[in-house]
Amino acid sequence: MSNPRKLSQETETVSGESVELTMAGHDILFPKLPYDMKQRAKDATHNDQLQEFVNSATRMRDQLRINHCNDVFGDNYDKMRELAGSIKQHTLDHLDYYIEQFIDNATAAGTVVHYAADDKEANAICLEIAKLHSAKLVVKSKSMVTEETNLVHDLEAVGVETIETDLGEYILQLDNDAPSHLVTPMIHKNRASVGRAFARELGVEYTDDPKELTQIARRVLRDKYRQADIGISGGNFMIADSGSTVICTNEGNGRLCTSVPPVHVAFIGIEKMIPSRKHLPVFLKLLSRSAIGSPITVYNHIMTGPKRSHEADGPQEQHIILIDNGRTEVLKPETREMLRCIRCGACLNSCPVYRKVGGHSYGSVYPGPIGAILTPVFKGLANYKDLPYASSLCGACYEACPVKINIPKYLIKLRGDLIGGKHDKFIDRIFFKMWAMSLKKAWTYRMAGKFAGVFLRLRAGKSIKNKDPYLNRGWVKKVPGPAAGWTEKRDLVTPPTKDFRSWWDEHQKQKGGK
Amino acid sequence: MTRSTRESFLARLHKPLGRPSTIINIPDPPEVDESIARLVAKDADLFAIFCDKAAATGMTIHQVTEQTLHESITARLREENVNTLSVCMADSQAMTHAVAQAGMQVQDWKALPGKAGLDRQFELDAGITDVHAAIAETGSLIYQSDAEHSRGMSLIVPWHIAIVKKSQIMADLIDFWNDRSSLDAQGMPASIAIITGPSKTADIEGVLITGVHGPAMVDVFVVEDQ
Amino acid sequence: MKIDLFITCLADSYYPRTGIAVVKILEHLGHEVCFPKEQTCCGQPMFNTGYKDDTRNIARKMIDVFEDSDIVVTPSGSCAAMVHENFETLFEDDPVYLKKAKALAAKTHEFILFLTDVLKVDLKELGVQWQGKATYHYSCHLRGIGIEGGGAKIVDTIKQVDGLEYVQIDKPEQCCGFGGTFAMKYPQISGAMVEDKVNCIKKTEADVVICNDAGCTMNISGSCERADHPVKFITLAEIIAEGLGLLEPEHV
Ligand code: SF4
Repeated sequence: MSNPRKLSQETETVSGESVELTMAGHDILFPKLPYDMKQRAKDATHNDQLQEFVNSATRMRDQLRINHCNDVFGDNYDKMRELAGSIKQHTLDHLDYYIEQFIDNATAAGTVVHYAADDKEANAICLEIAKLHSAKLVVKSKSMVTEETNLVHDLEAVGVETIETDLGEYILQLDNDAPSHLVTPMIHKNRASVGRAFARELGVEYTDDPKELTQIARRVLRDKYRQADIGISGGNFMIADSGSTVICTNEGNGRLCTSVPPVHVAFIGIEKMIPSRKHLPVFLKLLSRSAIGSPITVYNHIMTGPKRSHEADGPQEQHIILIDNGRTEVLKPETREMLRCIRCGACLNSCPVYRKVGGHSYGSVYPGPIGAILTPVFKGLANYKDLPYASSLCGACYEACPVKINIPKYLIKLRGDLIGGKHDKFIDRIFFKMWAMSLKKAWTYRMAGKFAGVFLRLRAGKSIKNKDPYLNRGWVKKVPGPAAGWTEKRDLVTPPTKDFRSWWDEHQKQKGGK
Repeated sequence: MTRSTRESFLARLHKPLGRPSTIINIPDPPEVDESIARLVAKDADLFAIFCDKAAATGMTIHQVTEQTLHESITARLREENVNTLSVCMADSQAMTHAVAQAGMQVQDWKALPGKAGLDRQFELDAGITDVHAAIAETGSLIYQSDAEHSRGMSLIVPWHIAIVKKSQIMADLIDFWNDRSSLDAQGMPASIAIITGPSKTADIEGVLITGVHGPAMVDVFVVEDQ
Repeated sequence: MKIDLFITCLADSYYPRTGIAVVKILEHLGHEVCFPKEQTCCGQPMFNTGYKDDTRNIARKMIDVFEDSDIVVTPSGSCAAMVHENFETLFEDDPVYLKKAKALAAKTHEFILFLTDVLKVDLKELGVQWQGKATYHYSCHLRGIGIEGGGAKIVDTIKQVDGLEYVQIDKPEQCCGFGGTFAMKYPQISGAMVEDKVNCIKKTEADVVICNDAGCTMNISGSCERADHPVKFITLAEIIAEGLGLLEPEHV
């Protein structure tokens, strides 16, 4: 499995034709910078398969979340999110305190704690551990932070076979594809492409039955767990007052990776901290409900140190690599709230833009609304200028987020930063400056409105049918200038001849005359 | 490349937090307000709620008494044509005896050390375990590792059979952690698993499939002990 | 009571009938309505695009215009949300205007919620009668004034209208893709979103879409026009005014 990820692949659309996907593997998550979102977004809106799957799957999960959370939390749903958000915020505000506490407690429990300033250092630490144990085979559970560091690539580059064990991630790895969702990584793929990948890479007979495909994966992976020298995991939570690490999976691969191989290495971003065990239920209650609308993930594994001497099984060594990789940049007061994220994916599921463009359009490890605000801070705003604008600011993400991250607020903040850094287009700047200026006085505002009205009504021509001066609107098929985008997809309405102010004046006159 | 140390790593945090060194006195973290977070009251019918919620996760629930426990388990094992299994309980003697009596091959999971012991767990048809607690709110089993409790028996075996005493059922996840919060790091078990149903995935086109990596079947025998 | 109207820029020049309806209803209920003529816009287009400094100037003007008002009512949930959610954030460094911004937010109401929550009006009891098969488009910015997830609360109000046949739309909580500059910068994405919305509207087979936010109306009606789907857009205020005989039904 050490072949590099492919540069292009075929996929079949629902309508049956084959389309060439130009994106695959590493390039999907690590595109050339500065990243231009528009092409991928446009391709995605023309990809029937993506439209059908991503649209319906996200919408279904969003609905399950809403129904389930309203059912169990009722009127307390918002308060519950407030509570979770406040616990996270408190932890972030005192993150140095809690990190030190965690290090002390984890070390006391026998865990070796490592420190990685960035992706390279994190992988280097892991590679050293692998070398020390002469590791040949690594099994790995799903972890976004290892996507950030591109760990699998680095391990395979030194000849350590590394297997993703989450079914979705395993399939993506076989097919040289990349995750497009935080929780359901292969949401953009259909069963046929899985069948083809299995036949090609595993030499099994083609089938597209999900149950059979899962059984095939189970057989292959069970052997890998047994043979693996190291198990690598991410971490959903770290508990400061006990030095414990928590991972939550539905498949059980996370628990297998951390229980069967003799060495366990966890990659964890520093923001995953919570103060104490008594806070854990709040997050366990929200995580899976927010992600897929189920009460709790099937396996929540809380690990405190390696196996004890009197125990028969469990890893003999446990390493935790604490990872910064840009997080201390986000930790600044003005963006700190973004680090509350528990990666539940609810904001992706609720997002009408994500539903249309899919995860790969975001051009980074973190897609969707949270990705649109995190990535520019992680990777430089100038490199991801499109992301803050790729939102209608509908607020569905904020409503869904279990830790109440005000994503729209941060999108607007980043837009402001772009403008402050003079990254906006000159023509946009002039347009908005002039508009803003016209709004300072009622008469300039009205004059500008009238002027636009006359211009549009001229272009609307015969489409104006109504005779009522307050209703005689028409339609424009095409406009020039910054608003041209508007008429690419819809007609532009024209104002009627008379505005509300005219009516108000008449109305006052009438009343005066009474 | 110079490596990060604890000190250099923390210095990275101090900057955005706006202080020269780690803060020593901090305000108490927010309390977990039970009027918001508690979903099952302590005095609810925990037995009924547990059975209900656990069944909803795809586990098979059997209500038994101390007298009928062994008989019910062996009958169920026969039904599934189990040959080899292990028993993993604080006191496993009586169960081991009962299952062996019924003609099944009981393997001692502790007999082989290290890798060989693990390998053996991969070959079993089923594993019988007790639990450390159960949670009515979610229908969860809580399973801790210790000298008598292997991690594999609720994880590696294709079929996990768990025995829950009615008195072990707690109302809410909150209750279990309130119980533990006084333990220090060494007092915590190395592994606590909160298990809620058989292993599941919906990765391929959202189709729900059980038994991906962990047990495909979980049977829970709830013993009336009060 | 004396009510000051904030009519919003889009309603003023594009959908004046909405404002007319609001005035007629409030006067019908016996209130004194004023329209401070120096008002322009809440500044949301600039704010959402990131032009914070320019927005601040516009917001200051709006605060000044309504400084002496007791109650400010606006037919747009979006503009009400702008005042409620965002004005404060503009004046973090200006204690004088921060206080004024908070005061304005406290007295600013979206028209429908003002009717139902403050004036405690029940449309049935009021005798609103209106014939037609209608669905309702939930505008996202209602989230900013506490109306979440598809606007069930507004739907309840709509259902109080005698004679109105209400049909529920699919995915009521999903944005129509307007988003101001978003629609111009990302026509492909915004276009896909509004097409989705138009398809949902088609499925309802409603003749009328009740839509209280002018931005959404511009977007969705423009897309219906492009797709040749003849459906009428109207605000609930207009329905109420027509249903009370205060406005002539619209003739095409
Ligand atoms: S931002 Fe909120 S909703 Fe989105 S993934 Fe993170 S926690 Fe979940």
